[in-house]
Amino acid sequence: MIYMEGIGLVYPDGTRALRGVDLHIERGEFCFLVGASGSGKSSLLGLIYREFVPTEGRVIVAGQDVAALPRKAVPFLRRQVGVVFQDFRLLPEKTIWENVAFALDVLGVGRKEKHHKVPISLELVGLADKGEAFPHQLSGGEQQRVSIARALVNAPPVLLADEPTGNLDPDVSWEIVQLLANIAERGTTVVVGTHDKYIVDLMRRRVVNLVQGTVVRDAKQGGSYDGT
Amino acid sequence: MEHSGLTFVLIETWTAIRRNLLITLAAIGNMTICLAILGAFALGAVNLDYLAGLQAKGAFISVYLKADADGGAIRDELYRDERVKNTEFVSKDQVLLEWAHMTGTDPSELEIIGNPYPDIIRVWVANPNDLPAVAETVGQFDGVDDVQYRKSVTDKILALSQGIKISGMMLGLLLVAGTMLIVNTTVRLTIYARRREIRIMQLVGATNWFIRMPLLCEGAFQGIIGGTLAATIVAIGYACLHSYLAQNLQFLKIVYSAQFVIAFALGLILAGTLFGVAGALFSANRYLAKT
Ligand SMILES: Nc1ncnc2c1ncn2[C@@H]1O[C@H](COP(=O)(O)OP(=O)(O)O)[C@@H](O)[C@H]1O
Ligand SMILES: [Mg+2]
Repeated sequence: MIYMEGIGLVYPDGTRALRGVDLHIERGEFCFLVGASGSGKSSLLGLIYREFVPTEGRVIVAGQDVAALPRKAVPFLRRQVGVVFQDFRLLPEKTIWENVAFALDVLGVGRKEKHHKVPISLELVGLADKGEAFPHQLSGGEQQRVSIARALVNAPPVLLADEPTGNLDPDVSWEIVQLLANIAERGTTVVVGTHDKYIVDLMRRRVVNLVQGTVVRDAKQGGSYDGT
Repeated sequence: MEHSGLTFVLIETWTAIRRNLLITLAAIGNMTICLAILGAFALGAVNLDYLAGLQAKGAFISVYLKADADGGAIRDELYRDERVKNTEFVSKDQVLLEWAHMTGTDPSELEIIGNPYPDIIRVWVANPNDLPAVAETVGQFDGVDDVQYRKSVTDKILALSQGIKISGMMLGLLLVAGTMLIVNTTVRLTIYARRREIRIMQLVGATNWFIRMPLLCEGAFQGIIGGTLAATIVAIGYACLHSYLAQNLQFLKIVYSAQFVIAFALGLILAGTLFGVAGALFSANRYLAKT
């Protein structure tokens, strides 16, 4: 589903963020991307949804050569790649229901389809009864669930999460990662960038370890944060 | 775009307008003034052209004949010139009568005064610009004593109209640039206020056109309201001018009909809308190119 080959990324200011990264993630796989702050996790995830274009190498996502996409095609790639961030990025003046529906609104999806899809997505993240609430009325964990619901409402084959538990307590973090793992069970390819050792070690899933922009370890399964 | 997409765009537009209400009002006010000045200049130019046209249509060359001249032969020769539209022979007696009529002199007194005038041929040309050249040619004819035409008035009006057009165009460019700058600024504020929302739109795969649409609608809204207000102000002013002239200066005619005023108002609203959309497009594109 995600295929990277010989990836290098140098930012316009000359900072090298990635070097010689080869990565292959299967459909429906759940994968941690770990490393210290500044090791290149966000940069690597950004290559997948074309936030950045690699300086070297190729990125193939859902069969598309991402770097070669014309500007006009980028929105259509983004519809196939849901993204979740540490800061949730919800719209404070919209209700939970509206926040999730927003991802459909901006694609011009009709009312009927919206009323069909939004409840399913909210149900999937366990917030079926919170549609009328506003983001500030929810806990951090609940807000992150809303952002996951929004990322999933278009049923993308790929879900990326960049430090999804960065703002959350350990037990809430655990619930969120469990939810992401469940989503992977349903066939979505999930990549989670994190430096949360506790969670990674509990999960024992595939772990790709970045150090200064290079993959130093790729534990296919039963992996841990530092290889122990 | 489905129905719900349109609803979304309209709601976003309206939210943006409400959010920046004061600035939007200021922008509309500014736009109204700019468009009103632009409209007034356009009307001035149209009317001076019209006036010059009226003058030019009436303008003719007076060919003063020598006492022994053959008027018929000269007219025949004139008609061979393609530029000449019409000629009229006026005998010296007729000229005197016209003069008497114009000045209010009693025709019975004419005997005493005597007739100082020669026979005259009046020449109308198809294109007023040909007046000087035709006059020059006729001046060479046998039997022609002198040639005169009312060059000054027509030329002055044409020059004035030209001047108005050029200065109006330059001022217009400034005003258009100003109008677009205002819209540009308000739309930039909207973008700034909505940057998080726009960011999310980009992340969930909204096309750039979908992101632009509410911004363009906001520019169009300002343009339509500004244009409508400007058109109303200028149309009312123009109607007042028309009725004042009709009562006080009847010889001064301006272009005035319901059709003309409606066409003018629609033109001004359309211009406002275009400038509004262009200003919004400019700032939207600049922002989207950066992200
Ligand atoms: N937009 C950017 N411009 C320049 N340098 C950047 C940018 N984003 C990240 N970097 C640099 O690239 C490197 C990797 O950063 P990042 O991918 O954010 O790492 P992580 O997400 O693992 O903390 C760091 O050295 C960081 O300073
Ligand atoms: Mg990061």
